[in-house]
Amino acid sequence: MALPAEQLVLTVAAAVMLGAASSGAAHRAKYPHDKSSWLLQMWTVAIVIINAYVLTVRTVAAEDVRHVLTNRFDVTLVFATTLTAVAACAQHLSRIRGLDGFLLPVAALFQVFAFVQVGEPLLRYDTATWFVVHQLSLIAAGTFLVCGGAGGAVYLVLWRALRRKQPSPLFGHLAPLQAWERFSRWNLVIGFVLLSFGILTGICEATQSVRAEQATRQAWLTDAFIVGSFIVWGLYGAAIAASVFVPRFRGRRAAQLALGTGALLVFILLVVEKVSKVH
Amino acid sequence: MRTFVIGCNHKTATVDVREKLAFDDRRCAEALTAFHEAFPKAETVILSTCNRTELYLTRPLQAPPRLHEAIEFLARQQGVDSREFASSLYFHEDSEAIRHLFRVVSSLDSMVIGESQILGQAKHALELARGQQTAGAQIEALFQHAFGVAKQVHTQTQISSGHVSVGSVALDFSRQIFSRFDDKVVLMIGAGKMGELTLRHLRDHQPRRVLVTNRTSARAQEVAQRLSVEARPYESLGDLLVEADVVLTCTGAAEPILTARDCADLPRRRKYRPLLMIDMAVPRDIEDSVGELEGLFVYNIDDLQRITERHWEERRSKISEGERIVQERAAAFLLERGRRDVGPVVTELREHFHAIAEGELQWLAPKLRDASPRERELIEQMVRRLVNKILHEPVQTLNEKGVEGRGQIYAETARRLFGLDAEERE
Repeated sequence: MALPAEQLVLTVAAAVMLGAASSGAAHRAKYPHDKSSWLLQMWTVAIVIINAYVLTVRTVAAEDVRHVLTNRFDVTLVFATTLTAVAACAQHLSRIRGLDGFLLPVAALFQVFAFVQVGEPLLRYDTATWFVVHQLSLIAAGTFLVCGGAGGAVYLVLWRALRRKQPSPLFGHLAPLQAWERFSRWNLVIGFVLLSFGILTGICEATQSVRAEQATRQAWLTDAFIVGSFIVWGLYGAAIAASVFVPRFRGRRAAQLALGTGALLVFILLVVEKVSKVH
Repeated sequence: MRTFVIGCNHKTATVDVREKLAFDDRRCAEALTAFHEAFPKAETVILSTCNRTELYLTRPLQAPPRLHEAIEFLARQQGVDSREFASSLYFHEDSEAIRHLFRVVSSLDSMVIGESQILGQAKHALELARGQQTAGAQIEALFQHAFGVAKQVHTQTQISSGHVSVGSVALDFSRQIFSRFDDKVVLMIGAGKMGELTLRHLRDHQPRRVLVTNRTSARAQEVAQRLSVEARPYESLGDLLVEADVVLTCTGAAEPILTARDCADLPRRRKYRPLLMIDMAVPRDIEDSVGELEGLFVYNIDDLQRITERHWEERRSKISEGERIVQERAAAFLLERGRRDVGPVVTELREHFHAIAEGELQWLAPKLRDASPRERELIEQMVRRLVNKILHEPVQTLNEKGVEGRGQIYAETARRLFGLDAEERE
């Protein structure tokens, strides 16, 4: 489905607003005035509302809820909206204060990437149920894993500030180091479970089409996106196992793993997905 | 209405004088009651903290107390001769008094600039005055405005951000590392004075356990007893370091007691849990390279002092912004109060003169039968302009005097000069 002018304007506005919110969140970490915090909260909620409105209008126009999950623009917009919504929640929770500053730029990135997806062919599926569950669980997994990566990033920034032994504007404006470690670990665990479920349902869905043709099966097994997804899955599994069973991989190393794997996930979603021929 | 403040603070009086003039709650209540009996038309609040004692007063123009009466009142209440402290007192009136209160409550006049205690103390002082019926509408409005100014100064300048004591900075670090403090173990190695002070500060935030160890166990026992914490043998230091989450060192050792070699295995034994180490000793107790080990955060006294110094500088740099806010808000308050004082008189004055002008125009109207409507209109305009021009100077003076806090006396004079009261009586 093409992007009507009104929806285009709204999503562009939301993208610009996300950019402003990202710099606003960074600014707030340095100057946490009550007024600017309140403004930033309202601003972030407004972005979520604009995106939700666009998605609702598009779903109503398509007369099929599943359409949102087959159109690449819509799926990316759903993901950006979910990340923004989490950032909006983080602005109210002192236990993860400061997360929004790291999450909003990623949301902005996906919001902009959504425009690249306009006009791309719709995603194909054979079994609607598998497909819907696959998409939903992957969006949820992506949100948790990006949050885990953002948590790792905050941990590393804070760790660096603490090691510099200098007064930092971040002190008091970011949640403590231990809170980020816990937050990151739990997000990774939940995200990994959802990712595994998403991949499994994806396999179930794919077998419907793969079974028919030998050539398709070959293509699926060598597709960059599929291979990349399995690599990410394996890395996440290893990172979680390491942080749970190997004490050496706690703290800073766990944060590095979470951030590294999160960055790889974003890279696969933004870049590798574009060169994928089968998925 | 006049506003005064008489008092002394850490800048003008020694601690001996401040002690003599200080009020506790009970004596403050008694003093307020006595004040109300002696000067029923005046409103007062007594602000007494360890760094200042101040008497804030508002009273009608001609009503007591005068300055010397207020000083004598203070002397009587405290049972001291006024000559013992008179030279340490400062006195501000009207706009200066208002500005002074705004500065005090905003913590711009405090010993530790930006501390937030003074706001609570001022609120408590007002509460006491309310209880003794010495806080009327005037002083209530003044203090409420001052609280608003304090809030604005703190929010806009962030003047209270960044701690300025070594103990608070140590606690800041622990808060930035640990999610909670009530499940943490604090260990002090040594028995130095500085370490003890910091430990007291940390102990007030209720960690799960506080342990003390020293080479001389008797000394450790002594400190532990004084601080009501546990003493541990120095021989078990290795295990104590595994158990602790925050370590304070303050021994008098000439060489570091914790070297990178000693601590190499510590992160593994602690399962890489974070450990905050604060070295208060000079010469240092912890080797610099210990801080490079995984999960260990080491700060020495220089690091902490550098941070407190930076916080001090930041606070000092924010004073001018705070002063600007105080100036603006004080000016706005004075303007508002001045308008309240002289506003009715200005209106009455205008009505009075315009009524005279209207009367004269009515007298003139029959005599201008030959004049055209345009000419009549011009005459009417001229008369009104004349009235406005005559009133311009007195009205401006009234407004100015209102801002200076002398509006009432000028308003009263204007009333008498132009017979405004006579009109009311009629």
